[in-house]
Amino acid sequence: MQENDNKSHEHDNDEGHDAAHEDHDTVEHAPEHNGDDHDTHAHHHEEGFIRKYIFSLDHKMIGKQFLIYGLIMLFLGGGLAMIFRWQLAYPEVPALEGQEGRGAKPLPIIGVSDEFQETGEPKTWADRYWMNVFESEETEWTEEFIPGGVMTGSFYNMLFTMHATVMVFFVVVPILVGAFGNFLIPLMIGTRDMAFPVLNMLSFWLAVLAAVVMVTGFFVPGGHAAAGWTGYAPLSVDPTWTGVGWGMNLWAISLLIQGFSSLVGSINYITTIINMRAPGMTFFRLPLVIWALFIVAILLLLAFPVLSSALALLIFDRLAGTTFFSATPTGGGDPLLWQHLFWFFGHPEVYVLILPGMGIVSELIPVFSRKPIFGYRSMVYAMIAIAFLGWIVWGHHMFQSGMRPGMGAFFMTTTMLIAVPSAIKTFNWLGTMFRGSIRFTTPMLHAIAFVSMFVIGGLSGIYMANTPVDIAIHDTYFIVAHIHYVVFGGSLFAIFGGIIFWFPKMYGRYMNDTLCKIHFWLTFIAFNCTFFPMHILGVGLHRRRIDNPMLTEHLHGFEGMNIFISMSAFTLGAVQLILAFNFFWSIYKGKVAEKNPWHVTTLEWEAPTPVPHGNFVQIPTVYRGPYEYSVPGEESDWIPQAQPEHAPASTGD
Amino acid sequence: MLRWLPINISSFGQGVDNLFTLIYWITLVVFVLVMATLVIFLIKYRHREGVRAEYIEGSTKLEIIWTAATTIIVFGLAMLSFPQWNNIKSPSEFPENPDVVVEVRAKQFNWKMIHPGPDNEFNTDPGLDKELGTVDDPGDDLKKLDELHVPVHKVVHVRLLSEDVIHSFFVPELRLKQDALPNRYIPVWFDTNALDVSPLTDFEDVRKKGCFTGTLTFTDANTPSVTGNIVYETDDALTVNVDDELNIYNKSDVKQLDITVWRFEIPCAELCGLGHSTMVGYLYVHTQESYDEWLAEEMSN
Amino acid sequence: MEIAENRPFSNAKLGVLILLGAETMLFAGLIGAFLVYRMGNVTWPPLSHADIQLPRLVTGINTGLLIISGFTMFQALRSIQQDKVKYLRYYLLFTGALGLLFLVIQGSEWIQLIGKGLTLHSGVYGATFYVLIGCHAVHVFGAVIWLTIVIGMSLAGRFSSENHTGVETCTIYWIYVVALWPVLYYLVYFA
Ligand code: HEA
Ligand code: HEA
Ligand code: CUA
Ligand SMILES: [Cu+2]
Repeated sequence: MQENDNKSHEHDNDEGHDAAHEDHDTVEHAPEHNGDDHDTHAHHHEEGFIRKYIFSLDHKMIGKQFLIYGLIMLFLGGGLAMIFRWQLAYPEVPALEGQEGRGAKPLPIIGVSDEFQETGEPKTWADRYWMNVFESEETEWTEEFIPGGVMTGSFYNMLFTMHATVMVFFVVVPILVGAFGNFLIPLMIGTRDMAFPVLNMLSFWLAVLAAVVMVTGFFVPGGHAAAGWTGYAPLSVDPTWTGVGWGMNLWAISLLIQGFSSLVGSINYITTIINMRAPGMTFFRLPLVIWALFIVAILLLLAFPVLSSALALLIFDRLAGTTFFSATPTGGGDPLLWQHLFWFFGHPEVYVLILPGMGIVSELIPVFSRKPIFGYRSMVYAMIAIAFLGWIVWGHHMFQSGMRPGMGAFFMTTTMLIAVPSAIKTFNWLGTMFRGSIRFTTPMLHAIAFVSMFVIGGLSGIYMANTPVDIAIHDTYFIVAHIHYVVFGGSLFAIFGGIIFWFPKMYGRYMNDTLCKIHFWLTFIAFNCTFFPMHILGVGLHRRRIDNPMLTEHLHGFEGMNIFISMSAFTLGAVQLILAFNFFWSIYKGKVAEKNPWHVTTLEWEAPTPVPHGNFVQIPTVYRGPYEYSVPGEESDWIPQAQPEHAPASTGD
Repeated sequence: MLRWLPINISSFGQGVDNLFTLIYWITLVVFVLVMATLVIFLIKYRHREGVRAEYIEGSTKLEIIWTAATTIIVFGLAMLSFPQWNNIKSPSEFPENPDVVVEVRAKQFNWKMIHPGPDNEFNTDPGLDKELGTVDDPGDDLKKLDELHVPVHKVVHVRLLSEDVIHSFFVPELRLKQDALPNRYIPVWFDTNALDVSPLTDFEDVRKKGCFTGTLTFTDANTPSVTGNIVYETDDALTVNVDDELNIYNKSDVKQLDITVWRFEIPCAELCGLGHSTMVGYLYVHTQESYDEWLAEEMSN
Repeated sequence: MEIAENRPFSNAKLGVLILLGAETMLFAGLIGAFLVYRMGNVTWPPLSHADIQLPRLVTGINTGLLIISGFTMFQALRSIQQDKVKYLRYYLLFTGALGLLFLVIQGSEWIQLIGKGLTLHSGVYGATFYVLIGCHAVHVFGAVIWLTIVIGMSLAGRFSSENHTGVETCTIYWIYVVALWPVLYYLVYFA
């Protein structure tokens, strides 16, 4: 084993691979671990703090780095949502004839108090602050964006634009692909590290750079990008149209960098999965989460460059004065081109957000039902089908855009077809629980939540896929509801479940289960209270509206709902703090975990806990498929993939 | 069912609503089935001491069944939708010789409605190669800001255009939404055939029904009937603007309401900058005579 | 077991091949944009630039040079496979020279065109021209740099018939960049 594993490294010495190479030899004579505080003896050869925690080449460390990175950004993105949710609850209502308008309610804490507005008597520190700001000569940025704690239109646009950008590009993808991908792939396919550890590190630090650039955008004059996360041109092209100057450029540049990061990452993943699987690990013995990550890597690889090309053109338009998107009659640019390019990337991207989630859930459900996954191969083919169809449905975001109506029919059909592979997955998950022996551990709860929430989100997708119906609900809160049922109800629940499930392997400790359960139930309830009503508001209530979102007459009955949604949203936000606390507390204080606490068959649990540098003392050989639970005639109800005895190579070939 | 939908006034709107309702039922059934199965499994197959899970690797038969079922459903839906979609959106299917043709131009953050002048021609036709977006003098054409006036139950053709960024022309009650692009005319059509023009006798949510200008006749015969704009409504009273003074009438006193003008919002549905949420126009649907009146008056000045 | 033995490509080689997938999509995006404009205009170049005449002949010759460099690069690989280190160096140097020459000719062309008044600002015609050709030029430049590194390594005698992944990967990339050019040449200069 050791031989051909080393052989694999011979080829890419010029990849600066030597470092990882040496590590392997040292692993053999690595002393046994005593489970507790792993961070201090994760690596058993002298390695400086920097090399170990900062510029680490170890896929596990890089995975953890991505995880922390993603969680931090989650709080940023969520925090932004909290701020604009307040505005949506107490918006400004311009005076209509016969009906007096009302101003928006200032933000709590940082906004002026009501007494102050009436009496002019400063009560809180905020009041005094604003008094000074208003009196002072030079205008603070606060005065420009949130005078008196009431946000301006441009500030609001900036908030939800960045909310979405951060959540999609800096939270869900880094955690699902970056964190789980890095941590799980080498462990689950049974190898010592990624194919290109240096590129791996590069990918993380590019992502950090991207984040830094993105955050800088908040502080440049004119504020951050405010054209929606979809950055529709020509709106995004000309600063005079959004009032945004360098923010928009930084947005584009940051995404370009993020593009490089994921390019490097996906090359690494694909190579690793194709080339470095442990002996006996045929493709059809791969755990489904690895399949998902494999497919997602391909999607990212092929989709992101298209966005990059669009972003490049956008930057040219903004900085070099070209007219690719700004449709001046003389320039002859095309106003729809951006949308085509963006969504050609954008739809595969949204499947990048869900497929790893599906993969994780496909791990959790068999483990906690103690049953093989129902229809392993069709699960794989379904994911491939979803990924493939994802390339030919982008037009469903453009039904009302002025795209040739004839194309609507095509895109409607392809889009609805995606229901078919999704159906296979959904029902196979149910089938997996059928006649199982279900353990209601917290990861399992999240998995169940994922299935039900994804079904809601998916079904709402059918409404919008239907061209005539989409006419009525396009760009309304129905879409917003859809978005969040799939990305929060889907991706985030999978992420939470995955973190709790693999935490023992990552940090050698358990997360506190009581806190996990509290967090789960509160999140589940608050989430539904927040996003379900949006379906109803959807019929007419527009996204991206700061003042009087209840504009259209038939919505006047629903004012109260927005307040309810916001309150639930704040709860939802606050609840995430429990998770955050639990996570960091458990890293140091959690109950020490044994090697394979959940009795899982896949390879990552073969490795000692905490996983040493180089992962396996001895590269395991794989004898069977990943889901051998409750095999008849076996006394134990699970057979590890690497267990030699009488191999009934069941799901393998 | 689905009472929260806005009223529908266009001939194609009903079709859209029917599809909506159909999908609503399909998805509801699917959802209930999935959830029911899930819950039953969770209860029935929860871990019990000594009870061991059954080793099932899958069932091709079942998988074929639900794959086929889903495929049939979605294809059926698609088939039903094609004609509706074409009827609403593809220019080839538009009803010929419209009664009214208007040009609607979006510009941050207003709607410019341009009716052809007496010669029924858009004189200043900004061909795609001409200086577009800077045309602010439509010659003898009639130009209104944020007001689109059309006769009731008539076919209207709209040539949609934007002068800067992308906006979206949306009238919920028409079930019509179409983005306006710079540099490219987009043909749109609608009618108001589903609008009920018979005098109102129940006064619940009259503004949601679009009632704007109308004549109120009262239950007690010797109060003279008044004509004005219904500008505000509470559950039991109407605020009516009778030549620029606001009077409030109890709904209980009103016998019937003959409407001459209906009004519906045209909110811009595509993010178009900081003023996006303030970009709203109004669609005024006139009875034929009140439309002619309006047109004559506008043309005269 | 089977995995370890039957691995058609080494990691490095596979990595480069995968990279080409991404490159292709990048150019697909740009070419797609180009085609949208091309279709959008009846006459190309648009009337506004009717006077502009792209130097087809010079570029044609340039194309020839690039294609030749592709062959020489391939020869370089062949020779190291047969352990002819000396030939490897000759071929690599020759290839690099051709690559640079290609870039120089491109550059001079650009200078002339800009003189003629075809700039980024002259409508989508000029813009697409410079962006597409420029994007390819950047790739050639990158390839040349990569090649120089490989040349350095070959002079340092780092390659042998067993171990020449460096040459192999570089060859793959170089040939990709070369093969891409005729497509762009046809689209931009003739379509
Ligand atoms: C994780 C992300 C994710 C996922 C997985 C999906 C999945 C789907 N999405 Fe979604 N979508 C987004 C993220 C996602 N979407 C986002 C972010 C936007 C907004 C972008 C923006 O404008 O800002 C969007 C917008 C969006 C639109 C554009 C709406 C508009 O702007 O007008 C459409 C239209 O067709 C659509 C459709 C679908 C469909 C059909 C699916 C399908 O994949 C769903 C398939 C699943 C099911 C159908 C449920 C399970 C199946 C069964 C239980 C079997 C039985 C089912 C039937 C018989 C129907 N999505
Ligand atoms: C992964 C993607 C993702 C996630 C996780 C979320 C999470 C949330 N989103 Fe987001 N959202 C999008 C993706 C996402 N969203 C996208 C793509 C859009 C479209 C944007 C566009 O139109 O361009 C959008 C738009 C969008 C809108 C519409 C805005 C508009 O159109 O005007 C709204 C409105 O309510 C909203 C709300 C929320 C809320 C309340 C959450 C909550 O789940 C967030 C919960 C909070 C956290 C998880 C953070 C943790 C906790 C704290 C920060 C501390 C607690 C603080 C307090 C209690 C004050 N989102
Ligand atoms: Cu115009 Cu939004
Ligand atoms: Cu989509």
